[in-house]
Amino acid sequence: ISELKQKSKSYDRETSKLLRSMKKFIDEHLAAMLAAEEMGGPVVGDMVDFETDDLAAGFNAQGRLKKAKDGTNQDKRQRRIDEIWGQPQEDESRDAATSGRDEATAAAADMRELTEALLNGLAQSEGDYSAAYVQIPRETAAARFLIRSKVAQFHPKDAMRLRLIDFGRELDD
Amino acid sequence: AARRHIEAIAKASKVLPRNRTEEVKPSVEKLNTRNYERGVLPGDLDDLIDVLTTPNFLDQASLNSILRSLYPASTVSGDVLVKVVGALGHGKRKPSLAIQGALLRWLIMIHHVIDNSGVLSQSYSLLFNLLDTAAIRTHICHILALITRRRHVRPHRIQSLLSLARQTGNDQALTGLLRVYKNYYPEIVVGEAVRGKASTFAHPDPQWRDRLAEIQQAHAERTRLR
Repeated sequence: ISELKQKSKSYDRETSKLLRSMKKFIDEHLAAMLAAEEMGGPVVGDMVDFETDDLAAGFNAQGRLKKAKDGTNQDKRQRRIDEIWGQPQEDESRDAATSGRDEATAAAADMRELTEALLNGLAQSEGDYSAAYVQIPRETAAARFLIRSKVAQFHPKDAMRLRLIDFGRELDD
Repeated sequence: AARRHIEAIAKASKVLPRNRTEEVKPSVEKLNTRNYERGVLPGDLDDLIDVLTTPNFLDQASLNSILRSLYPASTVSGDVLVKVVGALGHGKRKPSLAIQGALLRWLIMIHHVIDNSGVLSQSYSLLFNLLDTAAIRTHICHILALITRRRHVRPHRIQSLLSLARQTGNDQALTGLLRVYKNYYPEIVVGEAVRGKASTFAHPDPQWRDRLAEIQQAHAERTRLR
């Protein structure tokens, strides 16, 4: 019994270590790339080395990085109708550098929430595959990235629902 | 002597052809002749793989010919494998698919002289996920067939293999890989999918294999005499 306890403890330790390193990877590398894709830039993995400050400049239609211009922070991204018609946004005065960083932070948070939800969804479904789907509010670069890297799959009839591919299941556990 | 050529090639790989001070072709040719005669030492192999797998300005013909005569004199280290595996797939910083195919072919041919084959097992998922890239699929299947072990055969892999085989109209290489899977779990992989033509994963170049064996043997004798 004590041996088994030891084993489960060591698994727990390993798991938390892995989760920590994944978080670090998301924050340090993936976030900037996801934010770039969200803004119409290159797809994740296409451009590997740019700074968060570059994000503020945005991308042109071909997905190439624009040269950062100071001061003019014209947000040309798609918006929901209510954003356009609704309250005028109050954060027009933000300077470019912080907006780039915000994009990256937002993307990182997105990614973290999504992976967490997916993991929990799969763990709670316990073999019932139809229950493992997680409702996603809208299409994000994070979801696209997970699909592309074959970590998650869409529901065959409804692309608003996503589930993790079951890596844990084995044929003779 | 080999060092000098490798350095020349590495230097030339960083500049555009029109800006080069000297031709790279002679260096490549001399290096290849030497490699064909004596094989590549582990340190040199590491440097050459670096040149091949990172973005460079060398022409396809040179890269291909270097790969064709890349006979390892002794074993191949795990680091080299990691670099090769990391160069696969899509992305601006990866070599062209033709070169990736050649790299995979090389992997298949040196598979038996790998010093630490755990590396390939650990990158199983990465290789598996590249199966949808048609340009390198046959080579990927061959490698997977070589390294698949019982623990790699997972439900989600069986599923995606079957659906991929369906989509591609039963690609022969995929059918071959499915047969490997079937060997491990005959009761799960049903016969329907493994019917029809399957590739048998023959060695891509028997002549190359024989030459490699000669080089390895000669090198072993040389090191023993010292």
